[in-house]
Parts: sequence; C-alpha cells; structure tokens
Amino acid sequence: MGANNGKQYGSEGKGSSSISSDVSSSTDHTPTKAQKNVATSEDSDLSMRTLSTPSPALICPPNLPGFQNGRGSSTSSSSVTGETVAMVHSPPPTRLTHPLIRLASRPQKEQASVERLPDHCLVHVFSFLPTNQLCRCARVCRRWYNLAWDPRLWRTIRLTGETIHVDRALKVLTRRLCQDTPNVCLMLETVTVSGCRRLTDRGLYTIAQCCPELRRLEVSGCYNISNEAVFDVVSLCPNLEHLDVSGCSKVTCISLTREASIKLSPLHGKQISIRYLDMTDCFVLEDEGLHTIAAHCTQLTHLYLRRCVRLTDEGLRYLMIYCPSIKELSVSDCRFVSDFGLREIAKLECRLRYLSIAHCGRITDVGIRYIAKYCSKLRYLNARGCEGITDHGVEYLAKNCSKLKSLDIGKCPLVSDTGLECLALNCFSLKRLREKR
Amino acid sequence: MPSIKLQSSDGEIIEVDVEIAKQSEIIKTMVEDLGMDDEDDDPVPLPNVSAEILKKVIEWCTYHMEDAPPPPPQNYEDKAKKVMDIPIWDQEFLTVDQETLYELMMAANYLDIKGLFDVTCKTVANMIKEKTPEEIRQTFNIENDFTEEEEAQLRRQSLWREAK
Repeated sequence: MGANNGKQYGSEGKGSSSISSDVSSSTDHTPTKAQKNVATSEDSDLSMRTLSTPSPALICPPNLPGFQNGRGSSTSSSSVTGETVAMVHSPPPTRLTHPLIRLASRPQKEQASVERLPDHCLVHVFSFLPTNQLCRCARVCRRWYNLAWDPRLWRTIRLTGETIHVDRALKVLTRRLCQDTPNVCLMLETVTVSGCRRLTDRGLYTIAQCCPELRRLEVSGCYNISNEAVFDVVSLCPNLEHLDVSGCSKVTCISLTREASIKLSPLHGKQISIRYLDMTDCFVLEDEGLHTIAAHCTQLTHLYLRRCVRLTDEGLRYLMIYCPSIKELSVSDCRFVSDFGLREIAKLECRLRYLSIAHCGRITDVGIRYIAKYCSKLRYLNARGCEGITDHGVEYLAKNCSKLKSLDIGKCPLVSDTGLECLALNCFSLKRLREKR
Repeated sequence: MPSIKLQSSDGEIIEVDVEIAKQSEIIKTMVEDLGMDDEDDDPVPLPNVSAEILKKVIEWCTYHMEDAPPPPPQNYEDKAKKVMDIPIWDQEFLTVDQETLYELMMAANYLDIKGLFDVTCKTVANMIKEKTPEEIRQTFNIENDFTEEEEAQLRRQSLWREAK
C-alpha cells in the first residue's frame, strides 16, 4: 500500500506540474507574447474565471469600460503603479452595493493606508475569509502573502464548489503548508470539502499522508471515494474524531486496512478514535461492514446510518457488542430493522439520548417498550412513519421516558388522542411534538 | 452614574459613563483593579486614539452597552461561515472611508474592545471577499511588489481553483 501511494504521489506530481504549465502557457499565450507586463497576469486569471466559473460577483459587467477594454491601456504603460491602475478603473463600479467599496475605488490621495495596519490586525481580518479567498489574498503582494500563510489561519481548510479540482487544490495547499515542517502539516485539524464531487481517492491520500493531526474530515457527497482511501485516512490520522462520509456510496467499511475488514477483527487491538461517524446514504453498507466498523471504532458516540437500507437487526447486534458509548443513533429508513434491533439498541440503556427509527416499518409497540424500559434518559425520538406503533407504545414511552424533549410520531395512524394525553401528563420537558398525518 | 475622563491623542478631554467605557478591557482593568473610580479626577491619556475616532468608539460602545457579553474566545475555526453576519446598525455605523475604518480597528485593538474589533475586521473581510488579487489591489490601493517570475509561479499554484 505504502509503495503504491508513493508511486502515485510521485507520478501525480509530475503530471500536475506539466499540466499546470501547459494550462498557464496556453491561457497566457497572447498576452505574454504581446506585452511583457505584470498586469497581464490578472487578465489570464480573470478570463479563465469568466469562462469557467461565472460567479456574478467576480465578473465585471460588459458596460464597464475600465475592465475589459481599458486593460490594454494599463498594460501599455511601462510601470504598473497603484496610480495607473486606479486611473484605469476610475469609473465607480456600480455593481457593488456596499458604500465602502464605492468609496474605496475612488482615486485616493494617500498611499495604501491598509498598509499601516499592524500584522495581527490583518491576520484577524483574514481569519474571516474562506480558504479560496485566503489564497487570493496571498497573491496580492509580498506582505499579504506572508500574512495569509500564517499557520493560525490554517487549522481549517474549507473548499466548496461542485466543479473545483479538489484533489489538486488539496495537494497545492498541503504542499505549501508543509513548507516549514517537511512533509507534514502540523497545524491542520479540519478539512471540509463536502459537495466537491470531484474529490477522488488521490485527494484523500494527500490528506492521509500530510495531515497527521487531522481531527475532522467532511467529505459528504464526494461519491467517487472508495474504501481504500478511507482506510488510509483513518490509519494515518490517529486523532481523527469526526468523519462525515454521508452520500459516499462506494464506502462500505471503515477500518484500518482491507485485510482487517476481511478478517472482521481489529489489527492487534488497534483502534480508530472516531467518535462521530455519519454514513447516511452509504447504501451499500451491509451487516458485515458494520461489524468491522464497530469492532474498530469502539469509541463511537454519534452514529448516523440513515438509508443504509441493507442493514438488519444482526448489524445492530454487532454494533452494541463493541460500541457501548453511543449517545446518538439514527437508523431511519433502514427498513429491515425490527423490534429485535430495538432490543439490541436498548442495551445502550441510559446512555442513549437520541434515536431515529423513522420509516422502519417493521417496528411495533414491542420494540418501543424495550427502548422505553431501558433507555430512560432518551431526549429525542423520531418514530415517524412507524405504522405499527399504537397508543400502548406511546403510553409506555410517556411513562418511562419522562425526559423526552422532542418526539415525532407523525404518520403513525394507530396513535390517537389517548396516547397524546398520556404524553401531556408525563413528559413535562416535551417541547416539540409532531403527530400530523 | 459615575463617569470617567478620557484624553485623546490630540488633547481633547471627553467625559464618558464608566459603564460604557468599561467595554474597553483596558479601561475596565484600570477602573476595577486600580480603583480610578471616584476620587481620581485626572483624565486617562489615550495617546493612540484621536478625538474624532474616540467619539466614534464611544458612540459604538453606547449603542452596544446592553449587549450580552461576548462569547468566549474561539479559535480561527468556523469563522468563515459567519463573515456576513454584521448587524444592520454596525453596517451603517461603519459606512465610513477606509482611513476611518482602519483607525477604528486599531483603536478597538488598542482599547481591547473585542466586539468592535471583530466587526471592523469583518467589514474589511467583506471588502476582500469575492475579489481577484488585482481587484483587491485596486480596492485597497496596494502596489503589486511581486516580480514577474514570482507572479507566474503564484499563478500556476492558483490554477487549482478553476474548473476545466
């Protein structure tokens, strides 16, 4: 595995550098040959952005003379000083509504007053910016470059956008962040790339290899990633606590290696320290996969398995053997889960605070009675669409789980006013009750 | 209600309600620890803050006096999300020229008024948002001091953001 990674990493490095130079040379082609000027650099940047990601805030309206036609005049002058640029762009950009920005674009008498701000003020300003904008700030001038790469700003990487080349982005960023500490980014704790659909295993390998301090990884909706890359991340990032792989439909297991997942046993007692795991919509997950996950991730406290439709009561049985600390569990829309599954879940006893069994059509009053009897500290229960539940179940719940704060028994046609009355008499903390059909 | 006298850098003495002034952590420390409450009538010198800015700061503090205490200091995480949430009153209050904005930011930093410091920084962050490096340079009148080579290198690195 390691050799494979190394190889991949190396070849990718070559490939990407040649790609990038290709791209830059092709987009720069005309301007660089025509005029050798610094200002043209923005041209290519801007034109590319116009072509590829047309965000209205980024693109100047065509009726703005300064920007698209006037660019030539700025480049024709030999020195690109602040004055020249300001002159070219003197018409106030009407698209910007913020009065400050309108003021700002007027020609200024004094030179760059933002430069008077002390470093820590600018760093604090930067701390409010998302990752991609921070990268743009780094290209403004030398001082901003140095400040934008302040390690304090890089505990979190948050990238958004369906079309972003997220693998490459992660590689460029981690490489830069590794600059002072060879090969590892010690400051990086959170990576959120949810919804960046282009993420592949390559991007995850980059994270696994460069970010040993990672605590939180959110790759929701990145459906191209596979088990192998997830294995790498969890085995190389020992501090990982929070993992969101919801909607990653290829992910069927979370363990240290594939071998471990086949043998269904933890490798020499090695554990994964994940506490929060969201596998919503990982619909290929089966009982054996859950068995392996449970055996490796014994510290789980929050587990979401919504719409993992292949799971059965057997999977829940494994889960309760290994993971006694679960506080929040969702098996909503897992249609095979029945009263036997609830009997297993009830083994969590008073640790269980949140349970969703919405649309588990096989569940009846019997299962609810198990939960009510053992999980007396339950705060939230979602049993929406559990059509087998009747007033008896609700009554039992009301009498035993008096700390309920939120209960959803919508679409349970057998629950009547009698059940609701019982709730009203017993559950004084109940703040939210949904019972509409 | 007791008041306190503050002396600006240009010598003006401004009298302000102690409770309002105590939103500044340094003034609060002075008042509480050093007992500058009643007997001492000397103005507190603030050599880094002009009278004009000091009046603005006091205006802000007066409006925000009833606010809940600021949340405990957080790390530089999850801030990006909250960048837009500047209250309307603050937005209007901070509709000033850049120079005044920076003066306010530095005064808030010097006087240690976290709420005002954050909101001025957020305002500047909003001016940066959604802009290309060149647009940022224009907005803030910053000179591009990268060499051609460096810039080519940076540009290559920045291409990651673009889609094919």
